Amino acid sequence: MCLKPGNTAIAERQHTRRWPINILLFIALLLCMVWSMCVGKYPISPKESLLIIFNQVLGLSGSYEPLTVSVVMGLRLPRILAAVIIGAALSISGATYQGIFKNPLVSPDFLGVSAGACIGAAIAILLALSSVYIQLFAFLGGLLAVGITVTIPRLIRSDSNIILVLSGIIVGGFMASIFGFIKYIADPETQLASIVYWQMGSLSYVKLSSILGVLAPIIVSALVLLAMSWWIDIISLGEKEAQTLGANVRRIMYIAILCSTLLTASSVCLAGTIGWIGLVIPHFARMMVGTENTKLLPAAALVGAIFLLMVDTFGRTIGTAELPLSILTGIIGAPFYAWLLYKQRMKLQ
Amino acid sequence: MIYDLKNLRFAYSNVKRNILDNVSLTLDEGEILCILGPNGAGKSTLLNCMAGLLKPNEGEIFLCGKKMSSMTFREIAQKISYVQQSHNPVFSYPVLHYVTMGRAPQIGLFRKPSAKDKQAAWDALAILGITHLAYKPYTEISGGERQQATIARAIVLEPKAILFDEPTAHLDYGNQLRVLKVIKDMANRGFSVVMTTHNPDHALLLGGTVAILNREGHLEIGNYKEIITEERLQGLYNTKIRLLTVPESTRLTCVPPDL
Repeated sequence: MCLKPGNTAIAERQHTRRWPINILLFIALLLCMVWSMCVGKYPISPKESLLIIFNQVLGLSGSYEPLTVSVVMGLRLPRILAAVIIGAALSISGATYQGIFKNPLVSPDFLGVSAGACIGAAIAILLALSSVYIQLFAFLGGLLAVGITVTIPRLIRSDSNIILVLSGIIVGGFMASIFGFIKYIADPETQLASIVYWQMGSLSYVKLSSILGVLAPIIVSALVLLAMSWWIDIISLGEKEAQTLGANVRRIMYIAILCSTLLTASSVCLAGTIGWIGLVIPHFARMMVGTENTKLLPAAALVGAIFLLMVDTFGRTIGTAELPLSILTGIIGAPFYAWLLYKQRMKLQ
Repeated sequence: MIYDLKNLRFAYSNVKRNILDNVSLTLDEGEILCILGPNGAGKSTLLNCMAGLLKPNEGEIFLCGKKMSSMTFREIAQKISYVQQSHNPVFSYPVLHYVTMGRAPQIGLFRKPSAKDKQAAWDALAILGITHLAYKPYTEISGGERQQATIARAIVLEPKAILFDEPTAHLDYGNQLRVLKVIKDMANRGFSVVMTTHNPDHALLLGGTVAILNREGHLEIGNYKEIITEERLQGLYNTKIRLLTVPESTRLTCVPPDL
């Protein structure tokens, strides 16, 4: 009973036809970036904005108005880059958490990672530490939070999806109280505003230098997760099954948790907590490319980048005053998630 | 010799009684071993020990002549496949993807399956005659098909032995027989097979070696003709089971008493 090679070839071709989706998404992302560069209170033509960027990057001196140059290089470019990086980072992080905890209901927010990272950053601000320490503290806070969230189900020996989500709610609630306390003791003149900024989530004040600060950990973590994405599928089968397939479950889990937490914490450092993306985008990407993490992770990164960029651009162009990000992601994310739940008829155990 | 289990004792830390008590057995290449026993006797525990998921408190398991306690999951997985009781995975991967996962023991942590791994998965699907399921989501195929896909995953790395934990559970009668047929085929192809079952007829159908594990954790092992007797079955299941030959067939069949 041997398979005819021809059949395999046809089937493989049908199967790999899905790949160009990522190319289409990438083109869409580039178009969105150009669009976002041009719109706003100070409209700039696509040609002009691209020329300015080229000239600046290559160090050439063009004859452009200084105001246009500063809008492109000082305001819009950092903001666009931050939206793309954070959208991608949070989506990869969320897809990884969902895979390794074999639980489609979790996300960096629901596991308490974002809140923990936020507290870490707030403590560093309270201690008047430098930005490197803010990043480090955010990472440690995120790790601590996800550590507690994962430990609670283990203590009561439960493998249930709902218990992990409940545990995340417990940790999130606890973190919210600690955060309130930090705000209470913070200096209202100097520290409170920047702490609140972290909690609200905004891309308005992102600078190119702060992007460069988090770029390395984000790129390294994302590459590690992409490289081991096939093993995330195996972990998602459950601990015992993964072990019989020869997986070193503990090591893979540790690496995956470290990398996704680093992604979330770096995003928090850049722009504070931005909800819903890590939860909703992986589901949306799954509907486009399927459940396999080898395809899902790149697709989720692209979709997440497009989504956050569009939301942020809408937020800053829709009215006279800027609409905060968390309002928009929630207004879009929550109903969208409800629709996904209905559409996928997710079986909850 | 594939397996050599020497004087295993196993007890769960929170339970006093021994689940396995002085259990010894051997398994040769291409041999079929059926493990029978009442509910809760520890059949799955024995399989979990043989798969390296549980460590026996005393005794030693030798896998292909090597001490299992000194082997990693990866080394064990290259020698044996373990088909656990079927469950619903949270994410529904396509069957081909699921079968390819059986190649994992040969794939590095930061690598993905190669074209060769994919081809091996196709070959395994072809051996089981389920290539038409390749792109169907694993959660949307029937229980029997799912068991076949899992068996395809078990043979994709060409292991020495395949362990089956109640492969016929949750299957209808026709699918039970089809899966048993596949298991027998696999033994004929040279894989050693260990399976647990609740149905003594399955052991009679497969022939080969039979082991009976009782509630005290003792194991009796031998050829099915010697081990499966009316007396033993009646004691094992506490029911007046008869072993009869139906005139139209040459093999023994279990006949339950009237209710």
